[in-house]
Amino acid sequence: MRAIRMARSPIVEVGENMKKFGGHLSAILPASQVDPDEAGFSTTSCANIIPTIRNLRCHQPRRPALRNGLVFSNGDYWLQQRRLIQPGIHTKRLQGLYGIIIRTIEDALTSFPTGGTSTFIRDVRLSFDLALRSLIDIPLSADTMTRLSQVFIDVQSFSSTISAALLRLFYPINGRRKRSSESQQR
Amino acid sequence: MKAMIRDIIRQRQADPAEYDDLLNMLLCARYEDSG
Repeated sequence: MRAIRMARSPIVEVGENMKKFGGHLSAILPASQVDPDEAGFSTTSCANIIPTIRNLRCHQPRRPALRNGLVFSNGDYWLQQRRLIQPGIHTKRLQGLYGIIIRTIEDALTSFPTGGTSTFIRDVRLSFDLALRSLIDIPLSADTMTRLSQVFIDVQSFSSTISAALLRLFYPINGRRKRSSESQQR
Repeated sequence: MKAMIRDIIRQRQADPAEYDDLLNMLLCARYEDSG
């Protein structure tokens, strides 16, 4: 029933979960048995998704598909994994990362078209530039950037096609086709 | 693609300059007892 509700109206379902878990942005995975009090949700922060999922993980030991990484582990093993990334990720570096993001957007704005032109391709390219420069902030040749962005666009297009086909399978369950035809009639 | 990424990592490891990107964060990540 929860999966059907999630398919029908994900925002409402997530909102109800957030109320249940004291404001945490949370995801109740299928077949989970989680007691919010036992899981230790005491604060009311929406930004605490990783500890939330981690706490959910500790109640679901039989989930090999999720692996045992930083997000889905707990206890001593989680602490060890957290310490592994500790020296690399701290406030100063994150502020520098914001600087990279702002610089990338400012660069894109200098050549942004005015008027009623479609900006879809530019938006996709900007998304790619943001992802790439956040990961590797080094100047690459225009040719390399174009080749890499084409790979990114192809992968994005492929995943959109696959997800659209999969979503169509759920139309009889979530009623989207019915709602879509009703809105077209209006 | 793999060769390109390996080359970028090699270049970065040889470069003494400071970077704030995610690659640098990953390369700096290591275990230490103090946390």
